[in-house]
Amino acid sequence: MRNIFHLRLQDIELQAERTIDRTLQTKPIAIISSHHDNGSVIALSSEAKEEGLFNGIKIQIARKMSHSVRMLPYNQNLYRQVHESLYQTIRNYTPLFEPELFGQYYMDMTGTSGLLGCMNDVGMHITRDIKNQLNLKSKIGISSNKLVSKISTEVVPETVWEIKNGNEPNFIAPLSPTFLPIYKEAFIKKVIRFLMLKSISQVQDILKIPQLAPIIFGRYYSHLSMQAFGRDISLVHPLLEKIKITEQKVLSQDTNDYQLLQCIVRELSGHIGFKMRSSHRLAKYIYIEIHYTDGFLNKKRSKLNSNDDHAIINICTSLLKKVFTRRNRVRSLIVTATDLFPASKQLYLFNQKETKQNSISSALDKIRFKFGEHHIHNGFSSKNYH
Amino acid sequence: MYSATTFKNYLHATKKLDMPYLAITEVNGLWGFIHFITIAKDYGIKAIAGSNIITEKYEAIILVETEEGFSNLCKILSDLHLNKTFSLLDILKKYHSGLFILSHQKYTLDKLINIIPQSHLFIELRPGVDEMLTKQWEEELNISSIATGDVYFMYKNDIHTHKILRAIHYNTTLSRLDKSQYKSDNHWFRNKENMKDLFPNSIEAIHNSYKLAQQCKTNWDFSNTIFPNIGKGGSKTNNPNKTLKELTLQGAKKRYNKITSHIQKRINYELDIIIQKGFATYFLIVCDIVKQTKSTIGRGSGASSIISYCLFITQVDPIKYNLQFERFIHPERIDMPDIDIDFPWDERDDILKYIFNMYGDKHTAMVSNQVFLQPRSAIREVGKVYGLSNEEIKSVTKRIGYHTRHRKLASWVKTDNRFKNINLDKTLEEILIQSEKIIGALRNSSVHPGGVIIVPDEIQKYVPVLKTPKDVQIVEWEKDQVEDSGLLKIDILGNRSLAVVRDTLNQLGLYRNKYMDYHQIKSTEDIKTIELMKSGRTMGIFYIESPATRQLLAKSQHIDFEHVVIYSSIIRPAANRFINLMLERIHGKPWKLLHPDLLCLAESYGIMVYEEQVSTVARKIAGFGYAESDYIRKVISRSSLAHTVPYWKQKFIKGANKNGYTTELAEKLWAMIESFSGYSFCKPHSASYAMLSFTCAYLKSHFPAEFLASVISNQGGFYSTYAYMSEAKRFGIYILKPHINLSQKKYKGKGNKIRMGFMAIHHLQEKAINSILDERKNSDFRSLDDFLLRTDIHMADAMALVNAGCFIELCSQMNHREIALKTASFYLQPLEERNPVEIKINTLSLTHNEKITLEIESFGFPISEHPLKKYHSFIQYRVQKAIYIHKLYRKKVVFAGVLITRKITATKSKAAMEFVTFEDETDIYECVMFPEIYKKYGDLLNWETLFLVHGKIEKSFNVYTLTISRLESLQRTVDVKLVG
Repeated sequence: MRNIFHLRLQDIELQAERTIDRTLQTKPIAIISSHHDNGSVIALSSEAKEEGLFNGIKIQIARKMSHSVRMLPYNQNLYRQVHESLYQTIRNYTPLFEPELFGQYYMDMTGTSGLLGCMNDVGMHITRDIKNQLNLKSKIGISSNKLVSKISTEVVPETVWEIKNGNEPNFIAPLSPTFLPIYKEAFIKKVIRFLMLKSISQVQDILKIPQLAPIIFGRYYSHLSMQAFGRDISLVHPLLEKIKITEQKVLSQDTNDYQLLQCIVRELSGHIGFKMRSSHRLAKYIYIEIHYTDGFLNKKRSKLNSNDDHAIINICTSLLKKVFTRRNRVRSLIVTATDLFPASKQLYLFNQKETKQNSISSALDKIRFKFGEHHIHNGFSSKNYH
Repeated sequence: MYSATTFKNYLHATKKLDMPYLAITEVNGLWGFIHFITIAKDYGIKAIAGSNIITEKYEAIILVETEEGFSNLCKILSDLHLNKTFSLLDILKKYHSGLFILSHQKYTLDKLINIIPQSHLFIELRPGVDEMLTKQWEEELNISSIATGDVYFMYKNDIHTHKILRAIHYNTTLSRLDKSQYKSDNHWFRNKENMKDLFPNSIEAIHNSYKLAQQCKTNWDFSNTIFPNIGKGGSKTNNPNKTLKELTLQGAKKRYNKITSHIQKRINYELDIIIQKGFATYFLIVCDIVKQTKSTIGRGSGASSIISYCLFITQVDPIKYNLQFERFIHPERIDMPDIDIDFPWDERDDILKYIFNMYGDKHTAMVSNQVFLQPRSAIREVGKVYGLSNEEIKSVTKRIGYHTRHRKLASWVKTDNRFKNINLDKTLEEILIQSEKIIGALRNSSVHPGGVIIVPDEIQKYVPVLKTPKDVQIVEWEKDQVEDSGLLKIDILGNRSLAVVRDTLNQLGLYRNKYMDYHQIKSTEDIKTIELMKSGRTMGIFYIESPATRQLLAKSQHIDFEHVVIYSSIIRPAANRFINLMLERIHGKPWKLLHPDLLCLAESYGIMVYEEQVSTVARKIAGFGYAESDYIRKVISRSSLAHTVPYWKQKFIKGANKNGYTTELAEKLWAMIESFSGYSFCKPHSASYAMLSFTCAYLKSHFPAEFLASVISNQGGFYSTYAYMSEAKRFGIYILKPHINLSQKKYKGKGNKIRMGFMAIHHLQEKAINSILDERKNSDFRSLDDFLLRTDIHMADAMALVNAGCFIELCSQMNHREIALKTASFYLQPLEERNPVEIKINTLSLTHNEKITLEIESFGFPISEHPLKKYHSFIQYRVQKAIYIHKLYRKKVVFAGVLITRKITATKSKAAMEFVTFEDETDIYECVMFPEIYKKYGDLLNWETLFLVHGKIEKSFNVYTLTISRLESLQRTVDVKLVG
């Protein structure tokens, strides 16, 4: 029988800020992406929410709506430190942990009861350690799988809550079907809404009818069955080496200027190329993701077989053409290289062009290493765009 | 879309530069030609007709030399629009006579030299073309060069606006606009000196353009009316005058029990004029069209003709109601007035089809509707070019009325309170500035709702034609240009209320065995009808259902046909101050005419109400002739002629003084005349419509369920479906939800019940409805299984039916969830293996809240209870009831309210204010928000539907209204109180 912990620190950024500055304890605060008018709110305290603000709202509008909300910029350094400290604390208990989102972690504590004692007590210790070391509030849900543990920290107000093995279906039965990850599927959402199933227990009732359930839920039947009865066989994946390189640009001013977006994509892909070459890696795929101001996002990918600037930039600009299909303004662009693998230095004996491109990239890299990455950039960069 | 510069701007500049000629050569059309020559006349500039033909292969400018040339140009443009394989060279071979052709393309000129005489073919030297090259071509082709400006905008820095227009045209963004899709900044309006600077080596070409202009036609005259003069099937009629006389006599016998000498005299008088002016065929055509359906109504000035009445074109007896024929046609009138006829809106397309089949494409076309960019649409289009999302655009346009006249958008948005919550950043400001510049630019052409033109020979001879995406043939010109060009149109318009009347009578026949003839309904003396109108409970009744009219009827307490005609005419935006004056006089306040010579105003309490009173006063007081007095009402009502109003005012006052009337009297009369701006009606038109109002009121008062069911089914009324349903409830009618076996597509009424139709169900497709009704012809559905097996519809449609409760009565032993489960399990099986599944599972019945939620999802509003019921416990001790408004006069009150309708208007000092109609569970009530309050709370009405309305009860002529002092969102107030 497994013992899976889900550790949740609610509004971790806000907690971190309030730890640093105690005067913010009861004040309405908002964490913002940047002080640009174009920036948006990332996290809000409950006091700020009462003033009508919500996540994602533009800063300019937030300022008009509430004069008392304190706007704090996203403090990446602070949050990274908090993250590192949490890792240290968690590592003291188990080497097998998986960060899910910032402030949420799975811990596989299977087999540790002999060493550490009763799981409930272990949970209390963990939360106490976090409180003592970082002065942050946390909760832990304990069950035999990730799904139920996570739901537990979401709905149960207690600091530590254990769901005994076998009791998972009963625990989640009274909850809304929206807690099930599979609810995100459009088909499931549609069917559940049409059948007016208000609780997971009602879903369970239908799933218990073998001649009906497979018809109703179709190809989602088996997944839904697992989740609706609180079963989840997914493993806790340990923290692996970063398997992707991402470069992102949030525009200071939303735009639909295609030429400007091209410049930005070229810049970002140049940075990606540099990082790949610095770590002697190639990538199997490269993605371009475009976020529009109305929340819509579009993503395309292509295969990548080189890490020189010229190749990457060409592929990325052609991806941009495919991904930028709307007239709406763009808020941010993300370029990601994934499925990285080690690169071996390859001499192109017969391909002069490739050799030349590689040489140029190498030469530029030398300058970047010597003077800094941002001390040399191409003429097509957005800094030069008029 | 190329330019935002108006004809007026170009003509103004031309005049300033002392240039005597101007040619406007619109791309591939003569879209605004009639307007152009009208304005050119005002400026004393000689207008040249032409077009800039741009095709994939060839480009040429065509200018008109003769009348024949104009016809040829119309034919060329028609071919361009209609012929997919249009070839400029081929068409010019046929139709080059009377035209001058210019081209800047060598290969085009090479081809044209063999088709066009050298005297009529020229090289166009335009910006971007090499002067030296053109000189070579001159030698080679032995033809002259003409220097042109190839103008697309007024000033060089208008290039950005031009690019925006091109981006709108191509539905793209500025950065994605290709260079070939817009002009360079070289295409601005140059004077002679600028042209010399541009083409320093081609002075002769510049002089040639003047010489060419002198040869072009500029003496435009469209005063002659072009009569159809054809009979059925396009053949000429034999003796239309005789036929008209015979039909008139036959109709008169049906209309009047006895044809008195007075009636005969009137008939003879009208026939004489009609025949003398050659209008007989036109009447016969209209008479034939009208016969194609049972219920029609002739509107406009045609209702004053006894001939129209006898031919059953119109429904109002002009003798009984004192309608003057001269309003329709008078001896001095040269142009033919239009006859406008309304048909049931869903039969209109069939009527148009009939006309086109009868007279053919060669002779017939519809009038177009030229859609120009207005503030809302301009902001929307420019916003799209700049990449704003739909929500961002809506956040601005939602606050702007469709008929706003504001032009300085940027300063308006900065200063007007209704925009206070808008995030006005640099981009939005830029958008507003650019939007200002493109207001008035032609966006696209569509079909006029009903204008049809029939000509005797070939329509392409008079105006270019094109086809809409729905394959309807239209002319390039909209209705004003069509009227001014002498083309005769018949307005075939759709009228929802005629369909309401038809459907009500159908229901009475079908369900009550009560058959009534539309023409035989005697409504004007019916007591119940009159009492209904007096009460102001006229929602759903044609022409008199707006809040303003309802209040006016209730305030007047004086209802008869003549008065209703007055009321429906006086409700105009600019006539508010005269309404109260009239009410005082109706209620007995002593009054006298402003002058004894103003007897024409006696019937309307001394106040100008009808358009013909304007004309009569202009003739009587200012000494205008028939034509001028007629023209004055056009001047007042048309925005395109608004610039001439000061001139006509001066002329009116001078004329009055000349006839011995004081300036004070003249100014008072002119103030009344100016109240006709925007829109206004003539008495025959109002009388026609009032007759339909009475018919509707009769049906509502005697058969409210059938009537309101028809109103809702035909949609398009002043109010929403919810509002009409509420009205039905106030008449004691029960609303029954859709039933799979008992509902039709439309709503149907009987006695004190209305059964909702399938059309009420959101997300239910029309083809699903048709499929159900077709299958039901065999027999009713016996069970849910029976329905599932017999019908072939999509799952989404089945879900919509289930959610709407269509099976609740049929499957009384099952609850909603079981029905949903059974339905889902059927449709989620593979198509070939579908069979109803036995459901053996205990499910809970719907809670009350769930039921209401489903109703809102299915119909848009709850049926089982009033939207305010949910808040009963909160509001019951906090609010008063609207039904007791008469007991709360001068008291401060709080009413709960569902928003029914609203109208933003302005005070005399142009401050925005609003009239709002709300309802609570007991009644409907009218409110007013004066400017200060509107500034504070007006925006709330854009986002909320349930309110707490604070204010004071006022009274005017025994009608009570609420003057709002504060407005709260009911939902938010309750949420805050609960959280608190």
